[in-house]
Amino acid sequence: MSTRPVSSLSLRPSTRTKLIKAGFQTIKDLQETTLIELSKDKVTSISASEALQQERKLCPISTSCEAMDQMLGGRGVPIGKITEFCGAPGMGKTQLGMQLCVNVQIPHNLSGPGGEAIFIDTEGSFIAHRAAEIAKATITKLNENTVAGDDSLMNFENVMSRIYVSKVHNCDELIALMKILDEFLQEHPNVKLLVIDSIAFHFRQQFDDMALRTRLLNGLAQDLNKFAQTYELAVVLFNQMTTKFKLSRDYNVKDQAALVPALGESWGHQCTNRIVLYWRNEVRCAQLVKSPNLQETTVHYQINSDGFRDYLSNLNNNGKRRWEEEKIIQDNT
Amino acid sequence: MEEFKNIELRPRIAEALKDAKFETVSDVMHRSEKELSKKLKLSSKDVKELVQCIALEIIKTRPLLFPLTNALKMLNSGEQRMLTTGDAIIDKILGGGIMSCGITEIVGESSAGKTQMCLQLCLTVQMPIELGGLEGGAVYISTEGNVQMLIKRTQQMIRLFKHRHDILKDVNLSDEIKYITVPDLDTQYQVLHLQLPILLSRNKIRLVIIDSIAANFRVAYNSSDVSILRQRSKELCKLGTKFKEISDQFRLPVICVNQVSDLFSKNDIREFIGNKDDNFWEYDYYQRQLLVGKGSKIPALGLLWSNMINSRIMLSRADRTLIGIGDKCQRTITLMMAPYAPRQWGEFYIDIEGIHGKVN
Repeated sequence: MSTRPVSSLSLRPSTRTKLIKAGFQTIKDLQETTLIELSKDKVTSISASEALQQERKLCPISTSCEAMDQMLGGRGVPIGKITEFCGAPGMGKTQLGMQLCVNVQIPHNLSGPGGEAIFIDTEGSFIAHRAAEIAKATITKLNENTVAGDDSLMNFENVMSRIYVSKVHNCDELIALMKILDEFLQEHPNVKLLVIDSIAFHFRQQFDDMALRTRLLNGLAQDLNKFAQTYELAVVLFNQMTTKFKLSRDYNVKDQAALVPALGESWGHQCTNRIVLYWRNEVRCAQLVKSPNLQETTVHYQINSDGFRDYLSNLNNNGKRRWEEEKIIQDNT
Repeated sequence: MEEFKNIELRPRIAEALKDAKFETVSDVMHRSEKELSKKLKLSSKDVKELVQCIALEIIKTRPLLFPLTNALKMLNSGEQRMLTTGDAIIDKILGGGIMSCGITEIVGESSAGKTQMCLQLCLTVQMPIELGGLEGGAVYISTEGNVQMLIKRTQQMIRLFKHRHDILKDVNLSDEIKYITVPDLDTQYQVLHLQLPILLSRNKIRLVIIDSIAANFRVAYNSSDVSILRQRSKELCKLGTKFKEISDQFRLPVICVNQVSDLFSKNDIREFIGNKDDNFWEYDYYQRQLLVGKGSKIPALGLLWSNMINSRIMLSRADRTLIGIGDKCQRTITLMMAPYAPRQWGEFYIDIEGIHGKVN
């Protein structure tokens, strides 16, 4: 009797799917759970208008680049969703990640989410010094606009100590971390941002079995989605780019090689928003390529010593070569 | 990967694992909970417990992974610092020097000054921390078999280096530099996986240099066949991961010297830029920003390798036909990408002491 599957019970279809989704498979599973646990297990539903109201309450995380915020729906990276940024090396993915880790801490009265951040570093690119630079610049900018003596001002030490960092060396570690993170998030309910830089690094190797890779990635996406919804946090993933050859059918047109986000087609479905970062005419560009509710647009941005910022076309070009290169001239003094 | 023997599990779970012939941690981690409960014939509650147990076990042995540290602690611990190049101007261009963790790539044409820079770093790494060193020796892995010449040049540099830094007068600098030659990919694999970890755990070494990373790969995978290229990609990935592991385990920077290769489609770039199709992210356009000097050369080993490294330093000579002495030969050093500093460049020259930034 106890091994009878849940699906064979005469329940309402919606309840049945919820039970299955929550991981209940046999009657035995149900017997082992108490009523309270059952009701906690999200067997309840909400209406669309309730969902809309809830979403309005969630304050997005600004990227410090107004154009990018606009592109992402007006105020920045949405909370409760997975946002993926893809880009070739050197496009500023890690910089954006660090900027978001700081910006998520902008307090409520300055229309920020006032949360904390987790940065999962797979590439070893999280540099505390650089994060400190960005934090200092952001704090200075915010303090300019607020009355001195305000208690809610951001404090450098607090900002830095609220960025939690974990270094991951292989995909098993990443999966294990996801299983443990649940507990960590319960202890730190104020975490509003989870950054993985980058999701691709460990999944682009060691896999002869592509089906296994897809399965693991799906499992990971499921965990991330669960975190995003249960703990109301923004999940920001960074993805690498890979080359795809476009073979030309015309004899007089050369074959072209294009950059495409790594991890394949099926992964592309996992994130809510996907943004590709690339160079065009020696300016950094960001293009929203996938979103359920936003228009596909392209915006310019730049990265300077303060962090991630809007692109200003009237930049002082003094000493600049191509591709944002700045010449360092040592003065004799 | 770990086995179950050392993990304490409920008897009925351990029994189920045994029955299902699960042997390693990966066997469990690579499956969804649903699949596990089917395969192991356990209730979902038991499966959850099993997964938690194993996740905890993996995490226990990895201090960098968990418990989560925070950025303030990282900042104050001083684990991430900059290794000086021994020249203030070059340090400024490079945003402080070489990052003391992760992989830094030095790329350039032949005779651009890559080896000179590496040898100089072998000396500066031995300086005290207050002066920008890391207080340790260096391992120099050479694929080019010119170790005798390297040693000779190092001796020359050491004499002048000691002259400048009194503090190192009585230290035997050359003893702290270990040279290893790896003539082919098999030896390279053996050295990196077996010899190097032992060497690093027995000596106080704070810098690993491999000169050059591309040489053996280019010989071993010299084909345009897709399956061979795929194999190459995989090996490159493994290599990159290995270096990152070494870097984190022994807390040292890994420097990879890279060669350049020709960008074949350079002539087509103009056409591509004229292409106004915004949905197309051209690979060639991306590569164009990597061009070395005035030539049409790009770092070897492709985009995949570029994804593996943390920062890239590019050295180039303006005009190779002008065999200049001193000032006439214009050399530039560019920090192409780094997580800690913007893209910057400047001019430098090489003399008997080593490399120096140019004062305008």
